[in-house]
Amino acid sequence: MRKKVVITGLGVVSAVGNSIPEFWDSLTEGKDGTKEITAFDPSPYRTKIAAEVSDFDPGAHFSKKEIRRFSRCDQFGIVAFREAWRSARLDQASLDKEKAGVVLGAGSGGILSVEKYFRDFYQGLKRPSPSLLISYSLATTTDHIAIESGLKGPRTTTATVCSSSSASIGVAYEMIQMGLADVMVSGGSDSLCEVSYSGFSSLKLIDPESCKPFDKRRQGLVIGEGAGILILEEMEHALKRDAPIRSKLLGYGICADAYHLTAPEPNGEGVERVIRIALDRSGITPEEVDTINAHGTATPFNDIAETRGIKKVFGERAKEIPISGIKSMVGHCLGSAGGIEAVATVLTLENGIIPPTIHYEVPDPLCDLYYTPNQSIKRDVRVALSNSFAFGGNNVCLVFGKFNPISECRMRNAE
Amino acid sequence: MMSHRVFITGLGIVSSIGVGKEEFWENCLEGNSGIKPIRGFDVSSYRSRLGAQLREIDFKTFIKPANLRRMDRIGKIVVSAVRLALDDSGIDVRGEDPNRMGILIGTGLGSSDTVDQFFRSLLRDGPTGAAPLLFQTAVPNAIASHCSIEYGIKGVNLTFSHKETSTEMAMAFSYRLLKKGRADVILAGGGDELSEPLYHVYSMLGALSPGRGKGLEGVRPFDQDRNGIVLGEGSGILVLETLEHAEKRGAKIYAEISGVGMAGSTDGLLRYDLKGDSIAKAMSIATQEPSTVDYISAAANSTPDLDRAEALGIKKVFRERTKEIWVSSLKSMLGEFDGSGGIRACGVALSLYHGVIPPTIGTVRLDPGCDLNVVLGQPQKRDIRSALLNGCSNGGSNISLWFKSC
Repeated sequence: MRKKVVITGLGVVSAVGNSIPEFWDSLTEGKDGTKEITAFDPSPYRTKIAAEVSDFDPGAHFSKKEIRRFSRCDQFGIVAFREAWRSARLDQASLDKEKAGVVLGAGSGGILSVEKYFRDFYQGLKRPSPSLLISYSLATTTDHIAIESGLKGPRTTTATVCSSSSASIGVAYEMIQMGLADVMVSGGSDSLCEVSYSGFSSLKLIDPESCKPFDKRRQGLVIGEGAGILILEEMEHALKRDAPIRSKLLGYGICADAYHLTAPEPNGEGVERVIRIALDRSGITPEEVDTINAHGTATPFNDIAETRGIKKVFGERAKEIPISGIKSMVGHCLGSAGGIEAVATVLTLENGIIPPTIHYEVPDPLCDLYYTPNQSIKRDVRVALSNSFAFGGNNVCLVFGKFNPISECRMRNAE
Repeated sequence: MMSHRVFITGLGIVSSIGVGKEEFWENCLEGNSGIKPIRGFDVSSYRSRLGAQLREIDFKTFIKPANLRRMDRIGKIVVSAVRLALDDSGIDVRGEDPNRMGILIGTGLGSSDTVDQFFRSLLRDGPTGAAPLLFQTAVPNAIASHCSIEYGIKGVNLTFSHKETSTEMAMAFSYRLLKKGRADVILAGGGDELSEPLYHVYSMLGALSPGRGKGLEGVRPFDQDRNGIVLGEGSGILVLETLEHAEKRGAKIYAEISGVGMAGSTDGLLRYDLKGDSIAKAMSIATQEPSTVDYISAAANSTPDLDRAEALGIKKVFRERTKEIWVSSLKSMLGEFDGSGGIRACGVALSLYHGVIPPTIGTVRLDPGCDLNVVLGQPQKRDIRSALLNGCSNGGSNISLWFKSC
């Protein structure tokens, strides 16, 4: 029989807040995390902004030795993980660590450290420290978290970049279904680095002013950074230890466009398929969906394809479903985008507030849905989707449901 | 919910000891190593000289020209392995429902060479020098995207990157999805390339044989004089298929995948499972019938820690039966690389199909701490009822897959 999976812990580091309360306040108030880049010198670039994490003091969390060994990506991931772990009250629980694992998604990973090493190495300036190379593998943050907390269940890292951390949540869900774990840490972490910034810049996909998803004036992404971590737990396990249950994870879908290395399939056919797979796997009909946390990168093509895909699934009702494009505030955090957006989706279900798409002023006839412009709205949300799409057409859709303890209890008794 | 049986029906191998299963298998059984002095870049500043590199391959024979020019080297290597696997299986993709076919790829460092080229162009010429074509192939999931675009495969598509268990995870997850009926056919496996920056990183981290000691450079799994890894490269892809789908098209069957197991160890970021407990746990979860296991394709990579830990893990699971189980490490011929699991899984499928186990070469004197029944010298001919493939990564992810003969 299929196990039920719930979310019992959340943690976040982002440009609009380095804790869940701060992050959620910012999102519901429509705060923009975009600022001038400080991680590297942006002056040779046409665009000079990013949604950088600020007020993050590594010394408050790590020893000097750890700061030398942990990349910025590791640090974000570990800090968000600690918040999630505490909020799930797993720091106090007598957990069977043989049945607790970690699956994170990765994007640029520790490339910022590796960049530092090779910049010095190639320019022959000085002998760089090999400890910068410890972060060469995308698995590094995943391993750090498992080792720090002694988790001996399944462990892996997904690497589809822009949809990595959404995929990681799907994989973690499956680990629980397979009986390999009761508790799984999932989500992702990523830090701004020059390689990925210049890459998106070379593809002319960065907006010089702000991220304006679904707005006619949109010119592309604002790159962000941070971490979004979710604790997935088998429901009976969570109930038995009286854990704080935040929402249910009903299911997920993963599929491919098989279309192009960077451009999405223009008619939204891949978007439609992945949402249908996710709904079907979750036992949810399109009529039951109350809100969608969009991929919404604000690239000209993504937003049209996503809009078309949503319309294909939801038909006439598509216009009534509030859609959030929170990349307008946190930027596109690549390897952690799906994790941060999943955290926001769970908070949406928990609080009955749908965060807005900010910078939305000029409607685009090709993006003609309700994108929750500029102001958050209050709404009882029972089912929420979170979409993530990546380069090469790697699509993921997650289906979250509101956790209602009374109806869950009734269902258990009936069974 | 109905559970499906999962079979291996096609093998695609691009390796340092052969392209295609025939050449690969012949060299495996003869114990011909792919390990040779590094060509293509200068290693004079390192303590190590060796690597198991692919020879020149004419990728045009495997890949459509329009797609070929968008691919970097690792993309070409893996897509070629996909082509070989599909050809071997006899599946005509055009006759299949593209939504019921998937691609799951594992790669540790993917396009490390492309990332390096991109970064060097950025250092040299600034942002205007950064080439968009390089960037779009530099992302780790580009490999799986190339595969899906080449064949129009629209079902599940996922990339795992977790050091030496990247491909084992891709195969284990494929097994799960097929078992639950989420697809009819999944191309599973992956690969890695041996690039200059990668060689540099491994060398700087002290992972390469001969290490800092005075010993001889080389791979000798379970040997008392082993002293680190030699890097390799290549790709192995398996066509995994549900029983129903395989029967309907009268497919040739190599072996069945009947179980997967996973466990994490927490001994340190660059440490393997030191005591072998997690390796043992992964094997125990994977195998429902340990008494039928006749062969273990080991993860042993000639590092002091991993080989000893794997031996400990095997002894913990099989106890007095340990001496009856043949153990071999194909890494003795292929070298070590994150995405080696696909090729090694093809090796297990061929062992089950032909009833023969390739030797572990290079190993002369077994370490008393690794007192397993290691196949040395000549291949072992025997019926194999079932076999395990182990994958172990530094940092501590351990994955086992259990294969049954058909």
